[in-house]
Amino acid sequence: MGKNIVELHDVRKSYRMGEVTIHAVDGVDFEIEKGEFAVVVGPSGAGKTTVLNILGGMDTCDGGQVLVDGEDIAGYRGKQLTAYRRNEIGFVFQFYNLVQNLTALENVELAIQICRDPLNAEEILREVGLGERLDNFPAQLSGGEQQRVAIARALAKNPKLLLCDEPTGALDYNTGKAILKLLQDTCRERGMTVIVITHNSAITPMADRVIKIKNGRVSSITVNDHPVPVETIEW
Amino acid sequence: MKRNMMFKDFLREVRKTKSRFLSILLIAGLGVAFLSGIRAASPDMKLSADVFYDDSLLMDVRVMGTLGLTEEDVREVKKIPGVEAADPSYSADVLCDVGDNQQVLKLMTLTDEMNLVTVKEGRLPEKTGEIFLDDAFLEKHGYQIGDRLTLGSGTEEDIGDTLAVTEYTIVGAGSTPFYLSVDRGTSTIGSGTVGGFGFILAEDFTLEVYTELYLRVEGTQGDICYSDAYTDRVDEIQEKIEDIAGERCEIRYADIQREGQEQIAEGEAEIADAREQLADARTELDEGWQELNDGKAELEENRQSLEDGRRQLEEGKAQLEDGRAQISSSQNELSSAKAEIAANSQKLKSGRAALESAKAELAQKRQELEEGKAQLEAGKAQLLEQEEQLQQKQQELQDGKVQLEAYEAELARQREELEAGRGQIESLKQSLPLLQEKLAELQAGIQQLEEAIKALPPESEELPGLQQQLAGLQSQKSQLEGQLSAAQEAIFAFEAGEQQLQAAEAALQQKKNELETGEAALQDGMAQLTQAKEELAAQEQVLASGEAQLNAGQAELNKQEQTLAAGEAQLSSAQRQVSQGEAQLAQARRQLEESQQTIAQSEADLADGEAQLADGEKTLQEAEAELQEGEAEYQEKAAEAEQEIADGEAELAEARQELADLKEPEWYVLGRDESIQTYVEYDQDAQRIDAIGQVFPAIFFLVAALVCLTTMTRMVEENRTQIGTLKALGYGKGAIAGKYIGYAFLASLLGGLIGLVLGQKLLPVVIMEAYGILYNNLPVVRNPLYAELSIYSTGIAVAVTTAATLFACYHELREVPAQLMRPEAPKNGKRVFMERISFLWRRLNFTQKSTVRNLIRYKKRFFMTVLGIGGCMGLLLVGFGLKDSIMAIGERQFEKIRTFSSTITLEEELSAEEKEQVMEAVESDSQVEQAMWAYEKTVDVGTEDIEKSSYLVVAEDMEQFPDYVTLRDRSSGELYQLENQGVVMTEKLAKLLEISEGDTIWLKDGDKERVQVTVSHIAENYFYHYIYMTQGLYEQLYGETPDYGEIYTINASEEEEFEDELQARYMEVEGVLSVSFNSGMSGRIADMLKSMDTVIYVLVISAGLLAFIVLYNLNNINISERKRELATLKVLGFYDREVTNYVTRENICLTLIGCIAGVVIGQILHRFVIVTAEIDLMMFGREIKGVSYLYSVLLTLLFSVLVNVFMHFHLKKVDMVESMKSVE
Repeated sequence: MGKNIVELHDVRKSYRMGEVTIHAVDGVDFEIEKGEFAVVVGPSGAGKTTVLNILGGMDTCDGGQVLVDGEDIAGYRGKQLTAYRRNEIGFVFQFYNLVQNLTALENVELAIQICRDPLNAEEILREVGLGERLDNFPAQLSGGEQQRVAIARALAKNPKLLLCDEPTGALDYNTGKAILKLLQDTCRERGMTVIVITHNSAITPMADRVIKIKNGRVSSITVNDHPVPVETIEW
Repeated sequence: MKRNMMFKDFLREVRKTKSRFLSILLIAGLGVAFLSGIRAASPDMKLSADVFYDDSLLMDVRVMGTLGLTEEDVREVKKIPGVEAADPSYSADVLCDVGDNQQVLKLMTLTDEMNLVTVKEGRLPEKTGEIFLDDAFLEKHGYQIGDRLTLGSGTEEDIGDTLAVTEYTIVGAGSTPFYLSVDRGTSTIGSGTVGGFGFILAEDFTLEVYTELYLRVEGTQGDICYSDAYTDRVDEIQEKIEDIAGERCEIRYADIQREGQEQIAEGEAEIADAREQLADARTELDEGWQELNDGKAELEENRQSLEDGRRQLEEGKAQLEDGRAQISSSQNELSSAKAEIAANSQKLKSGRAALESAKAELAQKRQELEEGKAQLEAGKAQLLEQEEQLQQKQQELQDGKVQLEAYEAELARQREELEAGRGQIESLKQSLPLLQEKLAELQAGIQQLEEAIKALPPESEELPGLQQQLAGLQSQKSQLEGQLSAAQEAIFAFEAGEQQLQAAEAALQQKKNELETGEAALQDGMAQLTQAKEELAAQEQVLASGEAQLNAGQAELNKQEQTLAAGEAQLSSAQRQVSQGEAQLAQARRQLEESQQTIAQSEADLADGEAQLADGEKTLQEAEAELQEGEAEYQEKAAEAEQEIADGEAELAEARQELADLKEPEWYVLGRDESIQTYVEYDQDAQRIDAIGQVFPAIFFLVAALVCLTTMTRMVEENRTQIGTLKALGYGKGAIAGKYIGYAFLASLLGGLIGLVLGQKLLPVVIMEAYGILYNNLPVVRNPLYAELSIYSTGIAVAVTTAATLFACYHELREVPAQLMRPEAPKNGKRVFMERISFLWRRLNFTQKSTVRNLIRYKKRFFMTVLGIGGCMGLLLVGFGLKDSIMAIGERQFEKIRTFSSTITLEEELSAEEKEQVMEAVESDSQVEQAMWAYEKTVDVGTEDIEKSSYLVVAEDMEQFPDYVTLRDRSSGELYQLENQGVVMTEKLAKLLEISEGDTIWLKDGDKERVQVTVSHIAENYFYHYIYMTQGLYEQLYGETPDYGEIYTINASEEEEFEDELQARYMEVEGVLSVSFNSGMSGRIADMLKSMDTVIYVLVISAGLLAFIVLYNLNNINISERKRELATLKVLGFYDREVTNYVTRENICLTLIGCIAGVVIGQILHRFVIVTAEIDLMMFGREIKGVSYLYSVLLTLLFSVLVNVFMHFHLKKVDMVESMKSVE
């Protein structure tokens, strides 16, 4: 499909917890091509969130290379990281992390106002199916709707990568499916590289690439040439 | 076990949330420190004072009697149980000249057992004439130990009634517990302000009775002086004293009555005496008059007799004059008689002399006669002789004639012979010249010859011929010569003969003459002889008649002698008569002398008499004058005496009345609070601090409580899941809440403990230091920890915090565990009111919108922050505002209201001219631009219930008055005019008297009557109280023009040097009592301000602390509450600064709103503080200056910025991982 937008080479990260050193990520290597819908899957504590944090510029690694669109962000610190997050990354949280005090539209605008090249907030919200709920506060929205707002917020930034941390974790089955569909559609329609981190391996069939992580290492990378639509998946 | 786990959890919680714990601790500590510190200030002040009072054994009770106190009284009071000590004392206010000024000194006696003075210099007085002086007075007026003071009475009474000695030597200086502050209270004499105190020995007082009695009450040492316990204990003794007071007063009353009666009796006696004296004087005077009249009569008599004497004297003098004339004539007569006698005597003498000479003549004549007879005889004889001689001579003459004729004949023959020879001679004579010629010719021939010989040479032949010729010639010649000489001899002999003949002819002639003469003489003699014969005969005849004559003369002479003798006898008798007359005259003269003497004597006597008379007259006149004087004096004195007697009687009547009216004396039994001014003032100041202590800590506490509440609420909310879990596990509410309550309790307790120690140790010291400027005499500073206050303040802090925690817990604990286990439903976002104003809302970008929403969403935080910031701002504003308010006194009072430069106070009782002179001096002074008469007097003013004292000011010149004093309304600025309808009163006084415009007050000016007057306006004023009125109103009220005694001046400069010079100059001017300057007042206020600085620093620091703690705390809560949101923002790519701004924007808004709230809070607090803190004599400015608002806002913003900078670093630490976490 094209070139790799993300390449991780021997990425390592360890935490010191008192006298114990935990190697959360212990030499991870994988690549993701541009426009792929990638799922990083693994059990709790396998290190997938650390990978996500590193990839999302929220944390730094102790060693290895993290190439995003050819740039090694492993060496980024402070402001560089913030700029990276700001311009390259769209983030979708498990718990949506909307600003409660802002309406759906305002939450999107919150992201837009710091971007170099943002998309139209209202359009994005319509695209995620919230055209009618622009002025609603998060508390007035359902979880799925909130997550849609969160996705809209991430997309509006027009990022290179859309990172989703258990986007369905707080949602019920159907809503979760709908969200996943939205993410898949976004990937397909917009050519957006979407990386979903989940412990739910059931959704792997819908991904272009599945990266399994176990004990801080990549246990397998499966490139799925024929991903299935999300509707067809059951779990 | 369960407990242990809970405890462990609790400890871990504390460790984990150090900053939260600390913030609760701090806010609680601050609250407690402030509360306990400021509340402790008042008791500390009192305690310090108490320690000082106890140390100096200050009296507890002062007893004063309206009629003084006697020794007996003192003894009786001492007997009262509970009285520990009683010391009687004298006191008096006296005047003391200090430079050109008079100061009032309060003189007291030292007491051994109480009111101990602190000796700062020198020593206490030991002997009479020594004084121990107020050290403040000493310093202020530049006295030294060893200087002398002269004291004088300030009333009409003689100083001697009070003091035995008026000259004192300063032997020491120090302080007394009667005065804590620099204020020495007021006096009824002099300027009305006591300048200082002095202690002298009791023996220097001459007062009859003690003026006061100081008591100490047993057991009061243990009580704090301002406490109820103390008051009760003292009250008890006071009552006991009052119990005996009645009896003592009765005794005193009786004594005085008796004394009074005695005095009245004495007075009556005196009046009777006086009457008697007056009568005596009259009598004496009358007698005097009588005597005078007698004297006058006598004088008249004397004058009469003197006149008589004078007349007699005149007569005597005339007689004397007569006598003198007589004597004088007698003298003349006598003199002429004498002269006559002398003449007669002379005549007699000459008569006798003539007689004598006649006798002598007679004798001579007789002798002559005898001689004549003899001569006659001789003459006869002579005549005979002469006859004989004559006959002889006739003979001789005949002989001579014969001879002569013979001789003549001879001569005549010779003659003839001679005549004959003459012819010959004559021819000879003729031949002579011829001869001579022949000789000459011969001679010439000889010569020629000789020459020719000579010319011929010697051998010439002619020579011998010639020489013969020559010899021939020469022989001729010699012949001739012989002829010649013979001729000559012949002539010669002829001539000699002739001559002889002639001589003999002459002699012959002579002899012939002589012969002829003799013949004539003989003829004569012959005639004479005949004549003499005849004469002799005549003489014989004469002689005979002479003899006859002589005999007749003798007879006459004898007769004359007889006459002479008779004359002589007559003369001597006359002489005798004269000498007799002389004797008589001498006697008469003597008599005259005597009588003259007598007259002189009588004249002298008379003069004496006159002098005496004059003297007598003078004496009499004097006596009369004296008498008149005496009379006048008498009249006067009598009138006076009458008056005095009348007065005395009136007095006596009055005294009687008084005595009758005399109320039984009263004792004033006064506690410290009733008799010591500073004791009360100090208490008031302490109470003021107390009042401030009621407000400020309350703000802190309110804020502290709110901070605790939010903090704990947040904590409980954070622990929601845990609470749910524990609840689900089966823990009871108490156990669960215990953790949070314990947390809050521990934090607030620790904070409280720290706070109470710091607060009670530091704040009172700071406050007392500030007050120390005022109460400079208080050496003691005590700041113990008060258990009650400590427990109370800490208790409140703990209770408030714990209650807040409970409240927070209660909310959570109510819910069922299931609910708790789930994340709390996020609060709904709400549209705020502003969104409805869409045009405004639309202008906001969404960050601003979000800020607005956030502000309104977190109401608790909003309220808290606004209150915290407002409190901070308020405190700052109070601090600066206080300074403004006090500054306003100086600035407004002396730059806007009382704008004149100085007041020249004149001495009392100057005449109008003297006053005018001073005024002229002032008006002609180039350094004084304007001057005006003013009447400035301290008066009592009041309503029915309240009484205050104030200055009454009456200006002479209403036109000029506004140049000196501006009367205006403080808030509206409306200017007031003084009118005759009413007075203008200053604001503070009106407030103290609780009156408003249009109300009526009474005024009491000194001894004058109390008058009612309407207050027409109330004017702005900051220092002292003034009541201004017009001259017209004054006249209307008092019926006289005010006695202007002050000159208000506007000077060219208000520099200190200028004013010093001006003051020195005017103090020299006669009649000037003092010169005071308004700038001096400003100076005093500036001093006061220094003590306020401390208060202001305290306020600024507390405000800063408050602001910091509140903001920090709230921000912490805010951050922790919104950690997720902030983390999300970070994940979204917000830079740190943007994140900080996101939060700070809200804080800035809150700070701004807080500032606005602070203005309101500050104004309210400021008003409260100044009204509480200001003393009666002053009104602080009510306004806070703009610049103070500015400072307060800037400082508040600064604190806020500081906190936000702090927050920035805090925000940086927010972990993005938080965003991943589930909502707890």
